[in-house]
Amino acid sequence: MVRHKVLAAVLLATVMLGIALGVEASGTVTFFVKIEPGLKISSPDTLTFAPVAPGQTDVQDLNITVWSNVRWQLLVEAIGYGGEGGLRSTLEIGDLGNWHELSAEGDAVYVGQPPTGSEGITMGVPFRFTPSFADEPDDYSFQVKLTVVPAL
Amino acid sequence: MIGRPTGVVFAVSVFFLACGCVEAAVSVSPVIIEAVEVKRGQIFEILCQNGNQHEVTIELSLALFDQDETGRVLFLEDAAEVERAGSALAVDTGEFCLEPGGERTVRLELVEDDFDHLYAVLFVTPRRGGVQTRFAVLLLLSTVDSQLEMSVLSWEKQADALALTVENRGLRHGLWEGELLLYDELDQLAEQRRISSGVVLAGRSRGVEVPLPPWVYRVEILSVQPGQAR
Repeated sequence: MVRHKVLAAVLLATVMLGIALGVEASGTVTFFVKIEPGLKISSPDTLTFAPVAPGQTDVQDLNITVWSNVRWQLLVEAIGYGGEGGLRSTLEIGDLGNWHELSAEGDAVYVGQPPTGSEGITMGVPFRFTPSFADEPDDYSFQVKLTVVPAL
Repeated sequence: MIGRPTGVVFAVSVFFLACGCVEAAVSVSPVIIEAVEVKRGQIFEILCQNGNQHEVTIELSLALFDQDETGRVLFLEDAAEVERAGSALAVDTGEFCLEPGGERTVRLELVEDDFDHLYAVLFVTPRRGGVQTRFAVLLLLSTVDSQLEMSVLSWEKQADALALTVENRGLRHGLWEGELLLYDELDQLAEQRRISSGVVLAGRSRGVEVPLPPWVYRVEILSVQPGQAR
């Protein structure tokens, strides 16, 4: 009888040890990760318009790519354009078929855009240049600033 | 602007400052930092990465921001606002270079906490000649963690949408969240829909427009925040 009890205890201990080892062998680990809101933008350095005479227009698309995992918006502003001593010609930005004169205050071109996914989104932002008779024939250059900002 | 009359061709060629046609790709994260109960000395970190095959110089600058009635971010970059941002936050560097494929963590320290809320923006600007891109990292900081005081100021059911104005009377930014009960022509509850205002800064209100199906005859709005059912 005692022998049977000892055997049963040994057997039980073996089973418990096996279960314990089994649990360890198939143990799972919980990973915690946190994804931060991030933005990436890619754009060409330059955009060149064709030579045009006063009254004519030339439209060029600035192709930019944005990657974002949050809603975002894009603001465009001209730097040093149209100020004192600046060009009197008109530079406009296209927005769903409408043209808005570009200002130094910044125009929101794309507002409340959804997250882009891993491929990003490439957009052709249209710019329209219309020379003025008030500007002498010449080559001119100016800067345009694109600000990408998360939407609230 | 750079210009020198040639007097030969009566045409104008305008170009964004030429310095090659290389595409530039830089990424920044996080681009929104929201923190309550902030204290002087607290550090915020922002990671900048250069995905280009060439070195990039990054410039950093601070300003404040606000939001308009549509929720759009407005930058406040006048001298006084830049000074205010600079007196509250200190950046560990004004500019730095990133090697191709390189990255750097920028540290922002809160050096002043005598405010209820501070809406600051860190501009991260890769230095380039022509088309300039910059990232706006928004910091929504509050020294308090008080209960939200969001409410629906007004609302109007239009033909195909519901227009709401949500107001934040609290000391910190927050979201208004609610539920729309949509009733059909027989005045039967046909659909319930959860909506959110998006972030509303302290002391601001913003409009929210929710498209409605054509069968909607009547709408009830419930706030999910306690005690604010309407």
